[in-house]
Amino acid sequence: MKNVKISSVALFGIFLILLLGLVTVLAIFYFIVKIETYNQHLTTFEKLYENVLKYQYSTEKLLTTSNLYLHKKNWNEGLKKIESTLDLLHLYEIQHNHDVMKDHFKIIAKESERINTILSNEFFSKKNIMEKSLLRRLGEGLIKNEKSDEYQLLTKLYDSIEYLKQYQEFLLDEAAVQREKNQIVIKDQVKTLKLSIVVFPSFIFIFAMIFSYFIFKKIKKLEEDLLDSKDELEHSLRRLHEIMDAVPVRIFWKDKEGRYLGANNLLLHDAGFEFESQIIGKNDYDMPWKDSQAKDYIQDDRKVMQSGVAKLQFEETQTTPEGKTITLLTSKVPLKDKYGNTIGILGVYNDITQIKQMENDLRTKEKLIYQQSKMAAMGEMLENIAHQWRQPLSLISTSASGVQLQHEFKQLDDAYLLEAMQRIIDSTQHLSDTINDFRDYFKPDKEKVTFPVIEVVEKSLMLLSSKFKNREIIVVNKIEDITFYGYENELVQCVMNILKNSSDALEKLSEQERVVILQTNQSECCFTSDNEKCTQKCDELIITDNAGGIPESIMDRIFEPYFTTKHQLQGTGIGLYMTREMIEHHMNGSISVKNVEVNHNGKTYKGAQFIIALPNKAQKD
Amino acid sequence: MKTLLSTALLSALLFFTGCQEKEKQETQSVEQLKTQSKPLKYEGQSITVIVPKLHAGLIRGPVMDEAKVFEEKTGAKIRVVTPSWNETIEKTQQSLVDPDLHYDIFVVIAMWNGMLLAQDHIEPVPQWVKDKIQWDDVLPIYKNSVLSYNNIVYGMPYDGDCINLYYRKDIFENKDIQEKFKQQFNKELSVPTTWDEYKIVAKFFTGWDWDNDGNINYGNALLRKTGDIAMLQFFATAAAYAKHPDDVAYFFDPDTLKPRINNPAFVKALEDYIELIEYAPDGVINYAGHDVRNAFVTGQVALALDWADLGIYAAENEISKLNPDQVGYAQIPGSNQVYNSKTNSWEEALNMVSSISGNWSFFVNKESKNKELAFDFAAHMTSKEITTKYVSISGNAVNPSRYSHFNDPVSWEQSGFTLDSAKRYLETITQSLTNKNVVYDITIPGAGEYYQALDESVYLALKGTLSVQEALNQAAQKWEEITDKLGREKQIQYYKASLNK
Repeated sequence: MKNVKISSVALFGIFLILLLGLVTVLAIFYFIVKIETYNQHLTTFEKLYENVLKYQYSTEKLLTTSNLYLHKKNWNEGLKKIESTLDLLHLYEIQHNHDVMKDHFKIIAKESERINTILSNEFFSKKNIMEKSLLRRLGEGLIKNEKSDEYQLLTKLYDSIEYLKQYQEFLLDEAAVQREKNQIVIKDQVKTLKLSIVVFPSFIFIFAMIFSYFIFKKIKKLEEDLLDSKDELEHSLRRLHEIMDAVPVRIFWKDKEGRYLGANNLLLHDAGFEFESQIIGKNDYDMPWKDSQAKDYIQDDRKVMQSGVAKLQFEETQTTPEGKTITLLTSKVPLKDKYGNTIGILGVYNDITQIKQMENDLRTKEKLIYQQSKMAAMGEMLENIAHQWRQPLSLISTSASGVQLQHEFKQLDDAYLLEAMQRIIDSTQHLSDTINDFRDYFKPDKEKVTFPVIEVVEKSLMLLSSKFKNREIIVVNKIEDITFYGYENELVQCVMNILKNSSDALEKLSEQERVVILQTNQSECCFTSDNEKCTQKCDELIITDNAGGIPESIMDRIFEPYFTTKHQLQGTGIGLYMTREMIEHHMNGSISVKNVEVNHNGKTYKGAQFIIALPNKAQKD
Repeated sequence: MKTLLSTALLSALLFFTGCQEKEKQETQSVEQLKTQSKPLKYEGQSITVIVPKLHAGLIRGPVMDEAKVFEEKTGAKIRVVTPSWNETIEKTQQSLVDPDLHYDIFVVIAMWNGMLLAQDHIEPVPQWVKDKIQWDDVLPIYKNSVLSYNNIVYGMPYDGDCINLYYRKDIFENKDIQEKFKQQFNKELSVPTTWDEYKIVAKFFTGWDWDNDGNINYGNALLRKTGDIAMLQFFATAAAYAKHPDDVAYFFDPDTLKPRINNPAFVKALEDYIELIEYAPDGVINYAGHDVRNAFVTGQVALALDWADLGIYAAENEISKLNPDQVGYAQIPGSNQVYNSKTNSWEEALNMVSSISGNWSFFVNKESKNKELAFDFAAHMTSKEITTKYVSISGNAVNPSRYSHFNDPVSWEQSGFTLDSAKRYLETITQSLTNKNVVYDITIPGAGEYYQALDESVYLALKGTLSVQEALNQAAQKWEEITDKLGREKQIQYYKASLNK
């Protein structure tokens, strides 16, 4: 009952009152029609009673009339009147009563017919028959001669009349009873009608009173609830404002015309206001950013409201009351009514000026790290160049020394000279090639290209060859003839970083073989989680060593910047970080690491396995 | 709000109460009528009773009075049709063939029984009705004769008729008169026990003023009106000669339905009958039952033959000049010889025969649509309570028919009897009703015709047109014709059934 809507109750109550009113009218109409019908019956019964009474009187008068011929005619007419009245009752379908009275009437009619037959006797046609009434003749016959035909005939007539009168009396009685019954019914109907006239409106009145009471109670309750709701709403609004003021974002909402309807404290502060009421009704041209961003803001607002599509997480600038420009991360969503019509806009933004500054700093830092990485690599390179150059330089030196010595001892011939020169030329050429190789490596990649992965691997191995050679690391090259798509030199640096780490780890092995296995693979399904549909193919370069693997405790941290397990002189902790940055951010690939068991020459070793996966060129296109 | 609501409800209540008070008076009569018309057992049902219109309220009076009582008690509508004697017979017969004419109850004299019973128009009395009317209280003389047909009970006892002799006790006890009689007939004056004695006494009291009222008095009065029930009384008187105690049949030979009415016994009876007319007042030829009673209670005659009505009539009727102690009661006279129809010979023996002719019963139509109501009303009319009420009231011709009617002479005092006279009255009726030799009406079809034929012949004999034997032969011939007309075999069957053989 508490949940019954007042509108429903009111509607129901009004409907019920109208219904009761209708029922009242119908009931009164019904009773009036009934009274009318019963009155019609009553009239007919009265008419019947009157006709039978007249007929009975007329029957009695047959014995006393002085004009039998005329009276007989009237007497027969009386019977017809009764019959027509009974037919009227039949018409009213008063079946039971009609049947009873009809039965009486049949006997009356037959007896009347019998009397007519008796009266048709020629005795009653005598000229002097009416000189004395039949009753007088009957009395005289009784005295004179009971056995005379005249007396017998009159007795028969008298008996027949007496018999007829009894049934007339029955019919009269029946008509009187029916008349009385009808009177009772009419009185009852009138009483019921009176009662209806009083009861129904009273009932409506009482119902209306109860209904009004109920409605009043309901309204009162509703009013209380409304006040409570209002308090709650105000409380909620306060809480909402508090929440909105507490959240570290700016919140505002505008109407369709771009007028501010409300905002939280942070926005008010940005706009240079102290109270919310100060901003309500104002638009962006009334704000500190009126000369700078107002136009753009309004355009954005209109686009969002017209399209009905939210514009989320976009950056824009804002001019503060102090004249500074801050960077915002803004989202705007259209406000809609329950019918889906746009009625305004809700916007939130955050001042990301500091974050942007931090990002810039981070980017600078990353550049620095990258630079450090390059410098470290360059150091590595220089070491390798030095190592590469040692032999040709020694050969040049030896050849030059041999030429000089032969010359001093005058034993220099042209053939030896040419041979020495040739060796010097070859060595310098070798030096030059080496420099070219390293120069190419340090040349920054301008764009992504397709390149055979074997070149990357060979280049990396060449650059690290002296280290691998010194450490007697066996490279098992299982690279297939496939191409990768990306920045080749960056990938070389990545591979070198991994190989260098493997080399450092393998160096720690004392007795067993030091093996690095290089493999390629083309995968049909890359960069997807378990639930995603597999749509992307990729090319994989798999580098596995047998250095015992990476401890599980640090497995998750090896790609963090400046994380290293090496001595400060040996490692900077930025190699794998840079490797992941380049593969994931520059080349949209992925890099993963896990510990695996490695089989080599029939032996099983434990080691680390890095998998570099780059999107397939064809897929990319 | 609560106060407002309470006030509204109170106002509405007061308003209604006010309205009710206003209407109370107006609707009172309606309510009374409604109370009266509360559904009673037979509400809406009606029956029609046919009972003949006799002199004053005889037989029909109680029916009409009690119908109203019964109507009020049960809600039924009882229509009592009272045609004349002849009309009753005609309408009864007509109702048996005309679907428009229907009677639920026939109140009939025993002579009409055959008209209804022979054609199986009457419903046997069911056990619940017997229980209701206390069947065991009904005298066997009625149960075994007029109320049964072929040993099945059809009739319900309304009027227990028996014909008795009434005499002027005070005159018979008068010493001077006794002396006068002795001088004249050389024997003591006594209440006649045979018809021979009766004739002597009747003759003695004829033609002189024996009560000293200044008027000539007569010996006797008897019913003689043509077309009435005079023949019932004739057969009551003839029974002394013609009703052999060993032969249950009286009117006919039960095997051939040959009439016995012209045998020597009936001839002697008619001779006596004609002689008795000579000892009656002038105009006796037109005497109906009430004329006989009037002649006796006004002191015109010393002897009278009548049903059990005369005692109460003398005691109660306003025209009566007699007090109960002046009336003597005796059995109808007998005879010292009785004719045996089987041997066609006279037998010397005192033959006292009781006549229960003219008994009235209630019969319920087999075709009645409201049979239960019909039986209930018939049971009401023939109940111990109602019959007891009416047997001691004159003017209704309802006579004792039950043991209980004789058990309480004190109750008869209310009708003007002294206790002594009531006792004597009841003793006489009891004597008559305990007689095993009894005659009752012809209760086969055509009974009216048989009676009428005899009545016409007797009339001719009374006029002297025909001799007694010729008149009775003529009547017998007519009876034969009636029997042949109605079917002899059937009539034989019906007659035997009426004898409950």
